[in-house]
Amino acid sequence: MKRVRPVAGGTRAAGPPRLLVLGLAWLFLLSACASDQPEVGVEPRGSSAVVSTVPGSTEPPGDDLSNRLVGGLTVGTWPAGDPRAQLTPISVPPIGGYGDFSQGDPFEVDSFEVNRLLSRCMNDHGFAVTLHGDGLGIHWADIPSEQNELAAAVSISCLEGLQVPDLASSVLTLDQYAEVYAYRTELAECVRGEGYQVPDPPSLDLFVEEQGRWSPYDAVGVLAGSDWDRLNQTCPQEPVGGFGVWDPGDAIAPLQP
Amino acid sequence: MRRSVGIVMVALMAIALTAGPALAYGSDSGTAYCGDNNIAVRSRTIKDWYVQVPSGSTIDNGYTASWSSRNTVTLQSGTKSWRVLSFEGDVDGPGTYAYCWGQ
Repeated sequence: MKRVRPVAGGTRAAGPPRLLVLGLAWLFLLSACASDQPEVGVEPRGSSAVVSTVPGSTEPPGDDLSNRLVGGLTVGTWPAGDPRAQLTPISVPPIGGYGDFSQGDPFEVDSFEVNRLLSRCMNDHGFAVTLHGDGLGIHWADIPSEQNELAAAVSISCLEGLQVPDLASSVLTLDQYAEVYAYRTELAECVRGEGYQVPDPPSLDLFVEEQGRWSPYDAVGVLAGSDWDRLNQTCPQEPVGGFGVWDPGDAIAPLQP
Repeated sequence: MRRSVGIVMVALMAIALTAGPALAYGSDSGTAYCGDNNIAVRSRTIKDWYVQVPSGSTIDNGYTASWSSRNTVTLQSGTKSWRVLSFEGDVDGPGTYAYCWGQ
C-alpha cells in the first residue's frame, strides 16, 4: 500500500542557532563539573507541591489534591532545550492509571475518550478543569493563576501517562486519508443541515496533498459558546469512538454531552 | 592528558548538537485588541494542544487525533497576546487566529 508523508507544516518555531546550542552545551558542562550537588527542582508558586528528587510518580486515581501533590508528584525542571519549557518551567513524570493507548492503532484513537481521561486526571489532581462541550479539550477557567504553571505540568504528564501512540511519526495510508475524507464529506452534509453554508469539499487528491486539513468547520467562521457546542455535538469533528468504529457510508453519530 | 580531555569535550559537544527533544513542535501566536469585548482564539491543531491567553498563561488544552478546530473564549478584554502550542503534533497557521467576541 502506498504510504503518504506524515502531516507537517503549520507555523513551526525555528530551532536554536547552532552557536547558541554550543554555548548552552558548554555552560551545561561547566555547571555539571563545578558542582556535585543533586539537582534541585523548582517550587511552584503558591502551590502545595513539594520539591523532590525522588524519581518516578505513577499514582492511581482517586486521592485528593493535598495527598497527591504533596506526597506523590515529583516536581522538577525540563532538560535544556525541551520545548515544553515554553509552556511551563515545571516538569512532572508521566501520570499513569487513567488508561493506556499504547497498543492501539494511532489512526483509531478516540479523541473524546482521551479528553475525558485528561479531564479526570486533572480533576483528581485538584485542578478544576471542565470538559469542553465539543469534547475535544478541557477549559481551565477555575484554576488560580498562581497554579497555572503547575497545572500545565500536570496536564502534560496526564497526557503522557495515557501513552497515546504517535500519530505524527506514523504515516496515514491513502485508505486512511480516504476514510477521513469520507467522514468530513459526511460531516459537511451534517453542518449544512444545521443551517451553515459549507462549500463543496476539495478533491481527495487535494485533501491528501494538504495532509487532511480541510474540514467543513473552516466555513463555520466565528462561533463560540453554546452555539459552537451544539453544532459540535450534533456534528462531531471526529467520529465518536474514533475511526476504528466508523466506516464510510455510516451516519454521523452525535456526541452525547 | 590534555588531548584526551579535548576529545571527550568535542564528543560531548557533538552529542549536545545532535541530541534534541524527540518531540515535534508547532506553534502560532499573535496579539489582539478587543477593547471591552472578550478575546477568542480559533485554533486548528492535531494531537496535543495548548492555548495561552495572554501568551504566558494556559487556559485550554486537549487532544485531537486528526486536524480539528476549536474556539477558546476568554473573559479578558483590551490588548492581549495569545499563543497556541503543540509538542507532539502541530498547529496549522492559516487555521489559527484570534478574534473578538462580544459581550
